[in-house]
Amino acid sequence: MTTTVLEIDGLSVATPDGRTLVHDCTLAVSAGESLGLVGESGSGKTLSTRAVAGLLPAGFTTGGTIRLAGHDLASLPGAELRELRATRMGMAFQTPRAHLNPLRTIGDFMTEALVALAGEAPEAAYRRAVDLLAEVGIRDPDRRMRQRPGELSGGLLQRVMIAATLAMDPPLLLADEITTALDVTTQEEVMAVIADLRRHRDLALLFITHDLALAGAVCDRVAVMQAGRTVETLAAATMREDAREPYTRRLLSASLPDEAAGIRQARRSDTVLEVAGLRKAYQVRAAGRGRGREELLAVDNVSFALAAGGALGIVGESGSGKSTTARMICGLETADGGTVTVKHEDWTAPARSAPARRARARVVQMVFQDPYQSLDPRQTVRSCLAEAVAVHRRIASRAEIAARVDALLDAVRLAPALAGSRPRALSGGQRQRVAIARALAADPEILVLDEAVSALDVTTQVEILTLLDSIRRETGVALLMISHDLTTVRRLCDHVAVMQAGRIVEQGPIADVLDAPRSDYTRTLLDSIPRPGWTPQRRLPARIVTSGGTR
Amino acid sequence: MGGIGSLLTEAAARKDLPVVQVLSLLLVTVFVVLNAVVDVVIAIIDPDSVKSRRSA
Amino acid sequence: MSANAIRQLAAKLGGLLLTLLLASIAIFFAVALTPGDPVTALAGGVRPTPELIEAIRAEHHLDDPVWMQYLRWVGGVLQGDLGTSFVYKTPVAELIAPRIGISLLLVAYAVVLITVFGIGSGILAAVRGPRADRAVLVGTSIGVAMPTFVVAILLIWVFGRVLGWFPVYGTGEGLLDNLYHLTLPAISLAVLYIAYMSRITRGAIVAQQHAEHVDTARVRGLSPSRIFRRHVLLNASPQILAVSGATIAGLIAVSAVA
Repeated sequence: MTTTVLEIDGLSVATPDGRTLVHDCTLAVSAGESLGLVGESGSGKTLSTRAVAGLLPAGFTTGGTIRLAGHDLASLPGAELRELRATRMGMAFQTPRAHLNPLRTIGDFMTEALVALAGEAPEAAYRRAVDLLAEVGIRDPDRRMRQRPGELSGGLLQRVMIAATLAMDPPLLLADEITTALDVTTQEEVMAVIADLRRHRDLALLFITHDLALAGAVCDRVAVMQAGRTVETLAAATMREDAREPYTRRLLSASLPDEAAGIRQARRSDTVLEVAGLRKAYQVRAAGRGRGREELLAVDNVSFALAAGGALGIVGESGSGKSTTARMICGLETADGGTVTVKHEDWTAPARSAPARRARARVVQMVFQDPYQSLDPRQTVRSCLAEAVAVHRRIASRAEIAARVDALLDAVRLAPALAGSRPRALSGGQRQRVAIARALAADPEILVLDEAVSALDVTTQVEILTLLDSIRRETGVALLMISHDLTTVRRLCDHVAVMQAGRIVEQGPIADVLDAPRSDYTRTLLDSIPRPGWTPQRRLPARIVTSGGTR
Repeated sequence: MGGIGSLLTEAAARKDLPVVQVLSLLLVTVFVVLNAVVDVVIAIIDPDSVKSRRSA
Repeated sequence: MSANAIRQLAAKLGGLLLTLLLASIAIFFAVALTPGDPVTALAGGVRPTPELIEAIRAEHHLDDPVWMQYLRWVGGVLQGDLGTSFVYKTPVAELIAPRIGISLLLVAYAVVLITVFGIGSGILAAVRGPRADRAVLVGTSIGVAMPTFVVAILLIWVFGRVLGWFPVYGTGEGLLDNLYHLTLPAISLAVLYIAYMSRITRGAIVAQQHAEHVDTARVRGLSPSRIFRRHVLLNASPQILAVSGATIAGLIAVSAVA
């Protein structure tokens, strides 16, 4: 007989002013089972999880029942509730860096619960903490114990956090978007650790994510949440066939690798952007002892060409140099070597005069990852776009500007009614549409998209990618897409360049590179994309290349 | 009050330059040393605060 | 202590000495170049004859270039010779010595009041619910709004004259009597800073209470008091310390001028 470690029945969550954000969350996790809880931001999955963990903001009220290890949470007094949660569940969060106390060492963090709750002696707690760190694949646990979170990478911190949840041997792990902030290969590492733990400890897992493909790849069952309700629960293996809800189907079509969207040929063969031997070095303090400085080659001999009206994706993990490359093309950074040629003009040196800068801006525009930060919160959509139009068209009457703004809104499929809104009132997708419209105001020939869809929900991602594709067809603007995500690049681009540690390891037509990769690194990236039947692998971390050699 | 304060005001009013100079220097010294001590204590609690300021 | 920490400490010390050097230059020149001739003060009230002026200027090296006067002064200070008062004709050190004790005691007294009541009320406001928060807010608003001399007059009138609990002048004999006499001055000096520290402390603690790492501590089942001490207060302390350092330094300056 299997026991149920967590049972949520008809859970509702309401704010202090009476708005109900979660209407009906119902799910159960059996011992040793893994259940994915999937939904987009605002679906209520995180609030439901926080209700289980006792982390709802002050004044929030809940209805329905939550039973943890058979105990109704509502019926227990504070101290017993704390002890129940401490021993029967562990929780890992999306951003480990924010979720570990920055002032205390990893050792303090690892041993705190053991000493304060389990009453272990400090020496015994230390030994146990070292064992736990080793269990999650951390190689030099003794050194890590003395370090503070600021000295560790995001992937390592996430393992530390997972290791710490195991201190009290809980039968259940709540994992709230634990890999969302990580690169795909690091995500694979962390998921491999989770898979090992589940095998060896018979650990049950509630895996909260917006990524249905990931949940389907690592979980036994998947519960789908929409607008505060769990709409259906499916067996992961057969979810594509079994899905009944239109919402689930939409998520499925948005998140599975789109094999069909593939080869698109550029209509014109003229080259609009050419980068040759581009190089950028930063001075960094030498690692280890000594006080010397050494060069970190952020971009090392990078060359590629973008055809007019074409779409090139530059793919790589954080630190691969892909964003630095984009910033050098847009004149936000100065290259240390190599050339940037746009429309047969040398753009390597920064523009010297304001008119020259404006002239360049009429050719290349950039869209950033975070429209929250790149839009002025006090400016309405209309005034933001009107300003952009006025900058790029010197002589324009008010009526002309207004007509152009309407045309831009139409181009990004934003309802004219939204023109009077400020960024706060818009959704993430709508904001990114405004940012794209602002970039289009210059009538650019090249649009640089720096992780422009990474912060969006999967269905919104697909909408924006579709929009960009049709804008490219309609206006002939060339797209340079910087992304860590091969799946989104495949949807939009005809060519792709894969970057690792500052170099391009492989480039070519998208179908050639992704279907028949020649470099090991491209294969690793492709293998780390979650898919049905996926087994996450532990790999060696990427090496950092300095001019002094590999360390 | 019979403290440093009244001495300083009186000296300033009567153009007693050596007294004004020494007292001013004394105050500045206390001010600077105190802030330095606080900085060191903060650096002990939060070593990263020093590092991040350097590399930024 | 690591080599790195020692290097940082040395850099800190160097910066400190440089600051003091620059401060000494600024002070000396600002004072030496103020308009008005110090000879009048030196002559001690009598209308000086030209010969007397000449003699005084020569004695005090007032005809030397200002930078030479500066070097002579700094050299003296470094060797413990703080110079001689123009007015009293006694060494400056002898003028300061009997007074510095009472000044230090006053500042120390005020610092203790600020730390205990400022940080204490800030913590209360942050953790004891909305009612305590509002009470502290009202109290600190009054404290911030009242000028120090108004506080002083009020205190003297209420506790000195009406209630007669504390003396209103003199400094007393012996440490305890000193403290007793300094109570009203210390309070009037501290009120503004207590209010200020209270606000800062409350803000720093509330920010930490909402920090995500505190969620981690809560979900691990640690007791609220432990979370407060080890995760909230510890992390708020750099900010509180930084502000209290500046506050105490400002207090010293104020107490010297007031």
